[in-house]
Amino acid sequence: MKKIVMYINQFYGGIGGEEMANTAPSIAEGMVGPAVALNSMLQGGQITHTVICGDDYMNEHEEDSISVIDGFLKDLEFDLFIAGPAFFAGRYGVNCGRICRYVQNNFHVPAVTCMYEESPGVDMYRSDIYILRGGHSGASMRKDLKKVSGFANKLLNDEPILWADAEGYFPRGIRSQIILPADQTADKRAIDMLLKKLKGEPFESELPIELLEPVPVPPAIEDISKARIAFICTGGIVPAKNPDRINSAGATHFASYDLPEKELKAGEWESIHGGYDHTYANADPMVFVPVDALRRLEGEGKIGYLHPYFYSTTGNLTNLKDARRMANEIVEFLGKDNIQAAVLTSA
Amino acid sequence: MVVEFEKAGITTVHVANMTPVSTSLGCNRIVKSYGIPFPYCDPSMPEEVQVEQRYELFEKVLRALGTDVIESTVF
Amino acid sequence: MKLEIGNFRVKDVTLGDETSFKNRILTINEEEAIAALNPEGKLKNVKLHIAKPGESVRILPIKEIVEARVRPDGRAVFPGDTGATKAAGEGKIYALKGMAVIAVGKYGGWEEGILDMSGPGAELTHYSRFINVCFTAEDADPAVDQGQHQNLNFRKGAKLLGEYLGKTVEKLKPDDWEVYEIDERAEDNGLPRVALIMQLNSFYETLGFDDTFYGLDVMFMIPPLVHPNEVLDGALCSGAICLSGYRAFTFDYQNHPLIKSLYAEHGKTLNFVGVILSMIGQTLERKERGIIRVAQTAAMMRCDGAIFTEPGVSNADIDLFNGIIRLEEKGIKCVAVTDEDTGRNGRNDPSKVMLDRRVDAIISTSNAAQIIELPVMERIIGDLDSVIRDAYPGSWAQNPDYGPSLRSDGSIIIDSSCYTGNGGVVGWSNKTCKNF
Repeated sequence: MKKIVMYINQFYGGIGGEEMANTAPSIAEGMVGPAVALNSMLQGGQITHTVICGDDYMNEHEEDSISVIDGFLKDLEFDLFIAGPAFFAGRYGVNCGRICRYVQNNFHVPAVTCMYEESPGVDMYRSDIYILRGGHSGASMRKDLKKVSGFANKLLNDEPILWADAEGYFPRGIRSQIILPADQTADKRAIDMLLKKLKGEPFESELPIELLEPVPVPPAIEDISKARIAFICTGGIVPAKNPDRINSAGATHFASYDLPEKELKAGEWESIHGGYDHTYANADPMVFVPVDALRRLEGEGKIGYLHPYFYSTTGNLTNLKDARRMANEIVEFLGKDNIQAAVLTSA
Repeated sequence: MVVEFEKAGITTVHVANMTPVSTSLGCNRIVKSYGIPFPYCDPSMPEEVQVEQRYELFEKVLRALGTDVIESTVF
Repeated sequence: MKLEIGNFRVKDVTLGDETSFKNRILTINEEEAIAALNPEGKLKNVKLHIAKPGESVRILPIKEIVEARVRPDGRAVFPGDTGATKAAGEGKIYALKGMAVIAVGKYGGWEEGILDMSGPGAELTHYSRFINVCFTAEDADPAVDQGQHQNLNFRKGAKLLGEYLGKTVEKLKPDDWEVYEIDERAEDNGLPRVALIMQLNSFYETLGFDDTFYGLDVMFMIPPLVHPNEVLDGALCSGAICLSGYRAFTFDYQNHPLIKSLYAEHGKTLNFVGVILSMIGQTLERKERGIIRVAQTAAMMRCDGAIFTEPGVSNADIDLFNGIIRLEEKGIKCVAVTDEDTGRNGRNDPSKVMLDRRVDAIISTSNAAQIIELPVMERIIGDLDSVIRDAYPGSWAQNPDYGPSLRSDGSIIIDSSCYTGNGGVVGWSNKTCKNF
């Protein structure tokens, strides 16, 4: 029976939510959280240990966390390492990717994780490890675990791993020839594709041409003391009681608020961002929107002009289309005020 | 969102904690924040220190806006 | 113009006293065959070998592959090459099916290839399906044999042996017929007009390496419009072009799958209007001249669509992409059929040196640099040491990732650029490339 080690975060490990994101790594014997359900779906392997680590802890103490986890694993025998699923959670996804890569490279076992396509962990680690395409939120847990177990079973039973789209993982940047059924010869495929193209029917090129249009880097501001600057924040800082109903996750709109003359006062503002602990932001909203610093610099003549509004929304789990749309709407406002520079602050 | 601002020709700085993520998203001017729940200052410090931290971090932001870059740069 | 190919289905091949074809068995008198293929003694140490599908046999270094045929009307099978220059594409020609003639040397190099008749290598190529009548030899002039390989005597030898063997069925009745005819004056009936554009092996700047058309080296040739039957009937022969992993051999031209498949659709889903031979220009100026003529010819033929094959990589990609862009500008919808160079580690991106959104329909037949590990074979036709001694494009003496290409147990690790038939770009390939 092959052995598997699983990695999850503090939330799925039952330790706590955002407020426990700073939990140092620990290892439990047996299965914790989703490891239980996953284990029941595995064939030919058993999850023997679960590593749990706080999302903030690993993010802020990367080397340390990895070294501690390395220590946990050093004396264990295991054949496969599974992390997540991380859905769209930014820190969790990145941490899953990072620990999987480490384990694969240093313990020479395959490492698998699963996350949503827009998770930052995907682009960062897809070349190094198998990242299965996962759902957007925890509601996809069952579905994602099924995917993970199906794939893990192939690895455990030494079955051949097919190409990315066939197995459901993000392409790792490796392209290889494969053999199709004997009757699918290139001559027939070519004629078939040409006839479709001539009829205006959809077809799929076997070698798709994906060219990214490079975005030219905007020039440096020559004289900041004359610069017209706007402030945008995706940390979810809103007036108390969130009058504009900004979503704590998956935001589809933003609000604009007057940039105060002096400061943002605790109690008048709050954070509604679902992805971090609000304690600090609620105690002092200027940890996110440093109005006092902005006005001081403006007063000293170091900033030419501050746009009279700041734009506020949340950045966690925003889907790409909505993020782009909101950005373009803000661009329109900035354009009307001849704004040359923007500062976007994220959580 | 930063990419959309830059496409519109607006010189943009991304203040963020997970700077590799910012780079992989295509941001060109990045300033590393103090922490995810507190970008501009360290709340464990006395108030006067925090005030200065916010001021200095934003000065860094202004420097980044004024610097020519050809690729993703963390300031 | 009607071409009729009479097929003789060969069941077995054996060496014997009298060269003959009886009960579907081809018997070959070795001495006579050698004399036929080597009339002027330009080759030495010539020997015949027969390799059958499924046998544990490795053949290398391969220099040419030809289908054994005869024209009952007495015309040379390869007009302009093995006989007088006469029109090709019409009349009757007989072919020995299920077998091929292979010329094998001693020294390998950029122009040579390797073939396995069984094991994992057999799946990668159509050549493992045939009974391969091979001759091994060395060029009588060692300087020629070990120098740059135009392989002229080997190439001629294969054609002569093919004709010699083909003669056994000259007076016999074929098992079945293939008939190829286009009525140029027929109405289109609303069917799209489609041309096949074939990029030839036309890479060198010295005579003797490139493909030949009616016996003439195609170096510097300006793309002509050609009848598909001319290609099927021996007017086009392969050269000694490098990288046999994806080049077309004479056998491939004689049996061109895309030509045959386009014929099968002719009058049904499309009108097959002709073939344009395209070149690989070695200078931008020559590339431009070639593209001008390809696009102009296709436009004059009122083509609605074209299938453009490129059995090549690198330099040749540019002629393909620019050619298609020019055709699309003229309103001719194109599909490219080509291989990719995804690199030995699969991470070469992009896998064609040039990419363009206007080339939006590509059939990918293979990876031109795929690492292939092949087991030891019991019998070697040719010289196994050539794998590690000679400069095949896809083999090496040392490699930090893969070790030496030839291992002590006789197994080999190479890349597909020198594995004969891996490309299958003329239409054979049942392979494609995927992202892993």
